[in-house]
Amino acid sequence: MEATLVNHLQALGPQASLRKANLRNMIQALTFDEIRELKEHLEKVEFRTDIIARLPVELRMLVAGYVDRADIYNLLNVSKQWRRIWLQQDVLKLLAGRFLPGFLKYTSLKEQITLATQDLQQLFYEAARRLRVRSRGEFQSVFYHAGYFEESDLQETYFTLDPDYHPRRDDGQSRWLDILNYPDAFKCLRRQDNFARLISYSTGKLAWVPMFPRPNNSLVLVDDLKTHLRKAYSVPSLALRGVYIEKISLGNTFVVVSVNRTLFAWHLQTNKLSIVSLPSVPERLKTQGVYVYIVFYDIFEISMWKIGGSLRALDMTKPREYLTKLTRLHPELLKLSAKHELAEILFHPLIDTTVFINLQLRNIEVYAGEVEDGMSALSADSMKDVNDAMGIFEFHDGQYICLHSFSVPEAMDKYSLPISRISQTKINSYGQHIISVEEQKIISPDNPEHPRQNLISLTCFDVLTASFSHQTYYSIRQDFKFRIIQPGFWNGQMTSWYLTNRGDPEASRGLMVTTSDVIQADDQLSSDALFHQAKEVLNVESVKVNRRKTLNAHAALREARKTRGSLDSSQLLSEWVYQRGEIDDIFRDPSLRYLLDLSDTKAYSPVTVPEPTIMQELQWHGTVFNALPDIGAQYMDDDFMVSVHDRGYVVWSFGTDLPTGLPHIPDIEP
Amino acid sequence: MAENKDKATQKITLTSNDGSSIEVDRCVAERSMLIKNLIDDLGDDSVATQAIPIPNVNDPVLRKVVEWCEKHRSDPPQSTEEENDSRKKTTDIEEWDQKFMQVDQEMLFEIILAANYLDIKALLDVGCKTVANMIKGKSPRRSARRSTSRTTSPRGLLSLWSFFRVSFIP
Repeated sequence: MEATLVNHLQALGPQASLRKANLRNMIQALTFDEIRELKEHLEKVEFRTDIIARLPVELRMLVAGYVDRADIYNLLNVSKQWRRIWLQQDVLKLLAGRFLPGFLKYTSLKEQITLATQDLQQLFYEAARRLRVRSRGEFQSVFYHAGYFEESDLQETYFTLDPDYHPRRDDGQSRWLDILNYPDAFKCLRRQDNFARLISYSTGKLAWVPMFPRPNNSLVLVDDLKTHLRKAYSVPSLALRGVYIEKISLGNTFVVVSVNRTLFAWHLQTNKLSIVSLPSVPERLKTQGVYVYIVFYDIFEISMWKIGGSLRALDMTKPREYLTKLTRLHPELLKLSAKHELAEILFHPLIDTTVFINLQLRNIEVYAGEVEDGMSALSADSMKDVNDAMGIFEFHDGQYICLHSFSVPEAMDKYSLPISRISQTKINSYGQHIISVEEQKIISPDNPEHPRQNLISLTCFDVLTASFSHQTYYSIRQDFKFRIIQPGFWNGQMTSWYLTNRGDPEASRGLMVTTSDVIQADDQLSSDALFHQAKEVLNVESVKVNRRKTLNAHAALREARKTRGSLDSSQLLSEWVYQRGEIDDIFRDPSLRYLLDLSDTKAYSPVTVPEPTIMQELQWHGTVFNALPDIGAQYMDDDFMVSVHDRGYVVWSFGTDLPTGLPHIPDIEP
Repeated sequence: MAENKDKATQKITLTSNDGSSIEVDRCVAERSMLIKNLIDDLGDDSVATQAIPIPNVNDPVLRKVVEWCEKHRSDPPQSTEEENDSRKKTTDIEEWDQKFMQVDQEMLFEIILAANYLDIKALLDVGCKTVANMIKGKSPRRSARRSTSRTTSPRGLLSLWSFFRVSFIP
């Protein structure tokens, strides 16, 4: 029987496609008994060819240590068996640790908080799929939406206006139509400089303010990219007498706008409007859950508004006191100018009530020589000695909890001043943020290919583990024709936007999006910057501590509270006068352990980034980007990547289908 | 010093699970941490007179492993620091090792298992890198084909059969 079957099979022919068809015929020609026998036979045959599946799990983990980011999703899709073997717990943990830093911590914390079991394998599979889609440029779709209404037809082609909710006039007429019919509405097809400023993205939704002539600038639109539903909210006209919407912030449940000294917040589901008045004009708004955080630069204050409740100013005394000591900035200088302070808000990805404020004290003006009169007492030498200082301060429901750590990346070259930007860019959905970006121009004649480079150094903060990390990399400096616009980071990858054919009037301009691995997953939590800082403050040559990959800030806090009763940052500061040799005590003291989360004593070793090695490329229709010369802002999350231009926005989707057709784009008025 | 050299070239007999013996220099055999520890425990004399049984490894595989150890007999021990630095985890393999690993998959599998059993870290790494290279940069279909057999043999055709059996057999 077996022999005849083998003969049958050999008669199928050598060509693979033919063989398959012949096999089908053969199977149909077999008698029922033959089929049954064949089935029994096949069940006995052991396919001992898949050596990877047969490897014991600890050896498979060794193999997993060598696979690339791009391979994970493939591995999971070979067969059910492979998906099972590569998602075995230990293998999954290893892969997640390498490619999705924060993933495990996030899922375990989420499990604790929501008390619901997480299907780790499914979540990992999903995350791996997104990682691949993003890194290979296999975008589901790309979509362009103009920030104004098309001249050719007044119809909105993509979003449908939520019929249940859009603002109406007192007589019942839709204010929407009112605006569409406004005769001057289309005079603003010119560049709109502030379009990018009045747009805010959060979890698949975009909130923006249409650029109508000022008197009508009272509409707030919320576009849901997933459901294609657009909601329109109208600021009560009384509030708009001569003032305009100035800031906008979209959270997961509220959209908030500021008009002069008033905040308007609409609930995205119930559309309920809440209003609060502010002590000054806000500089920055950030919304999460029911909390709105408002940064005022002019009155030197950060306030919290629990929507529906009252406004409360956060007590920043201790953070400021702490940072002032660190900067060695003259206290008088701080009093005179609030410009020295910059603040950013970082949200906890799981707990709405917890917020991290990244406070930076800067001495830019001192360097720039804009010393104010009262400061003449400070000699030039002492000013050089002044550092920027940055600290992350945790607040819970408006109460100051603790200082987490501090970090000021040292200038890599003492003769040049790095341009340091405070930032709050999310780099993945697991609570990791970039908190500071430094850029330094490097000229290296010995590198003929790229003599001009930028040395970029990023400081990252992981909210879940309260740890810092530092990443440096070289990027190729833009040249005239090939301009790099604003790199963005997500899941360890840098996304750069290149504007091509610049300065060549003959060729049409295009935009390319490239991604490249920058942040090595494993190295995210190495804190060189902290080490350098500690070296200076503590006056020691080398500090050797064991590398800790995760640090539970909450646990550390609890521990510290238990042992010390309270946490006082200035008291801790005064305890810093440790002599060389006793430095280890710092790390034995649990309350200080998280202050100085030193993990490595490695010297700076910048990664050379991927010259524009274009891992993937999206060449768009040139005319589109003729209309969109610059990127004002960009937002990224797991589902979408949005670039905001001065005349509209472009959405890259990683899962949701968007319309592929491009709307007609009128030429720019000269 | 002379004593050390004698020790290094002292002959040691290894017996595979199918009973055949291989005579190797002591320093070659000691590339395997398992054998090294064994020799340390048993003492020099008993090793000189008795063959060391390697019950988990068959003759062709053991010969292959010994061939590798002969080649790498004077390699410095791997530093642990290098191992832990994941940034440098490349899958580059030396040319000689690449050639050495050009064996059929079954043999590769056996070599990896043997390296693991005998505790030869460097050989295990080379083996794992070879496997990783097999799956790197391939689409799911191609890596599947790599790791399962090709459809040219009757047995391969039988495996193709298995795709059909679900849908055709009642």
